Amino acid sequence: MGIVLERLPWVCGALPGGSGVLACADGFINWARKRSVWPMTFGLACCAIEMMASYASRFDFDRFGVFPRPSPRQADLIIIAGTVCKKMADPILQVYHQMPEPRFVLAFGSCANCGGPFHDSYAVVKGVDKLLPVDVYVAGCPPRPEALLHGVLELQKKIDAMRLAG
Amino acid sequence: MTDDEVLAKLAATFPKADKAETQIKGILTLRAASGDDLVALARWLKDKLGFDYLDMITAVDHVAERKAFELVYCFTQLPAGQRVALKLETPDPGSVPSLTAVFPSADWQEREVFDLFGVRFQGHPDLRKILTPDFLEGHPLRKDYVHAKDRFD
Amino acid sequence: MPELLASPPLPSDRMFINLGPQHPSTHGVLRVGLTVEGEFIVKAEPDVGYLHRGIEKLCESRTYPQCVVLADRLDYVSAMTNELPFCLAAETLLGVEAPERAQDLRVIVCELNRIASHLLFFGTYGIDLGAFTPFLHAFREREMVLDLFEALCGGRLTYNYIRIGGVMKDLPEGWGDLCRRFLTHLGERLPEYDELLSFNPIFLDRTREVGLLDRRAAVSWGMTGPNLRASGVDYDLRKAAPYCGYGKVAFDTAVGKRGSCWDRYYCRVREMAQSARIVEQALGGLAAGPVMAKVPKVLKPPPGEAYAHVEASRGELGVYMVSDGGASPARVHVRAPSFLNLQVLGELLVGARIADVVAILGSVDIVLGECDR
Repeated sequence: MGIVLERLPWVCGALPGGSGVLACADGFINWARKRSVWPMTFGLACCAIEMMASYASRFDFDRFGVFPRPSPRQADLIIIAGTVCKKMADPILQVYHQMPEPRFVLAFGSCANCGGPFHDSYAVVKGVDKLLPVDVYVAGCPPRPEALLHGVLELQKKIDAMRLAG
Repeated sequence: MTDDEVLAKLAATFPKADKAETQIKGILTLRAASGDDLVALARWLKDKLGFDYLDMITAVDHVAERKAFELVYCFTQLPAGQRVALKLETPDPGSVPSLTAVFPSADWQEREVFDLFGVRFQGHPDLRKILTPDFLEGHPLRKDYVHAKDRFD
Repeated sequence: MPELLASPPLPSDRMFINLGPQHPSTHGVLRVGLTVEGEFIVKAEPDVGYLHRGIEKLCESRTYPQCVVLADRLDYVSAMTNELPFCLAAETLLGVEAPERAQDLRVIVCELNRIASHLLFFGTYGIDLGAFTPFLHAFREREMVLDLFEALCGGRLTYNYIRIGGVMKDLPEGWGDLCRRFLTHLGERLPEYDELLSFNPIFLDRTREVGLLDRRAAVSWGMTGPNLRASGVDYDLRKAAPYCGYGKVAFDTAVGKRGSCWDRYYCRVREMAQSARIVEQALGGLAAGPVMAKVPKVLKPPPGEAYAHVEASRGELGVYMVSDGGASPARVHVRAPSFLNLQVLGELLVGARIADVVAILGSVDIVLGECDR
């Protein structure tokens, strides 16, 4: 499947009307991807509790197609929910590299955005963007579950802008 | 058992130990004269006076004033809930006997004091870092700790 | 044919597996290094520190009221009970006492927080053992408690409500009725929880004979809170040394018999009912008056030391505070129940099956924010 998607823009570029095919392909693939963003359960600290609340019945993430996966091998999104401590930095990198592409990173909460209330600590990484490329930042301490839903909706917009042709 | 009774029994068994200069408000705070007495005192508190539950072990950095760390221990008598605290000064750098033989729950708390202050505990089964990352050098809770930039800063 | 039957035995070396730090059932970032021989654990080494944020050091560069904000984030599941010992220690150093109405309000919010925390425990313990439904039920009730807190002080998870000298503000109008309605609703739901999980045969099979910890071991390993009570020690700080408004309310302590995982679990379920009872009484007996004592704008307690304890959801939470007369504390040490409760794992897991590891770990109910500080 990956080889087909890689070669598709080159093939379509050579054929007449190819750009129309590409646009359709883009639309379909992006629709499929954004409607089934599967995050990995990666709660670190307090924000993890609000993340769990958003999976529960009141805020119900499942209606967006968001379904938590415990293994990074089966996940599209990693929600860094909580403080990134220096001891935990290497495990985070290891887990991120185990995720297959396309993969996205959502920094959830002040600590993941910039270190939060602990930014001047000797043991805290000042934001997960020092380690990983972040796609969406959700601010709050902790952010409400609605904010997390908003963050995933923003991620869906970002996925919409992805193009096969690079 | 009232505070005075405890002090009277203490004076009879451990004449060198006495009441600490700075009392923790609301808790009778004793002072051990030296590390040699510590284990015997803890065992006496546990077996003879019934303070069989180790509440907390921590340290306070007084190196600037007195070139010493002050170790603070707190014991509780279950189920009545009466508490007694014990302070011990140890010079910096210093080592103190471990209480793990008397109270197994001293294990991690002593490791924490070692990790954050650098106080060593003789006789501890496994004295190594517990909270800070391996690459962090130094003992962060010391007042003279200067944070050296690492690869995450 | 006979050669096949006479083949040498299969190699059976010991294997080292990491449980965590990323694992759905470790309740946070905990790593347990397990050495297994087949299905059985031979050695278990819990490794903490993956959430060590240096809160004790940070407190030394924050003012006293700012320390309360950091305190919220220790045991993030029951933040109100974290703020309380900080404030009590600071009040002891300052020599002030919160007014009676503030003490009653503190009891109400701490007990509601205990209910929320135990609901979370109930839901996540079910998930750990493969039962997903209790999680959804528990969070439904938990959302009601969080709504009450949001109406009270604006925060769902971290509150900064209990302040040095009292509480932030008084109850809004109608809050008492909302709270009573929630308590009635909870009273009807608790028997449902017993039906769903507590007396479910599969759950009983997985927890009743697992993780047995006798009384002597529990005391010597420093267990605290429901874990200690499940092993038969009738010690609850709210009764042994009542603080705030606990002297005015009557409730039972849930004490177990055998110290199994099920005992630890059921102590918490029973505590929810008792907490509801306490809140009901406290709401009825709410004293009139101000909710904040007169404290100076800049808090500079005279030099001294204080050690305040509360019965938090996970055990006895203590804050040892040393003041040198400045605007920041000279030293703050948090005696975290989860840190002490975890130590026993090294002994309790030996001889257990891999499947029991999660049952035992879940029943101890730790929160890494508190454990690692």
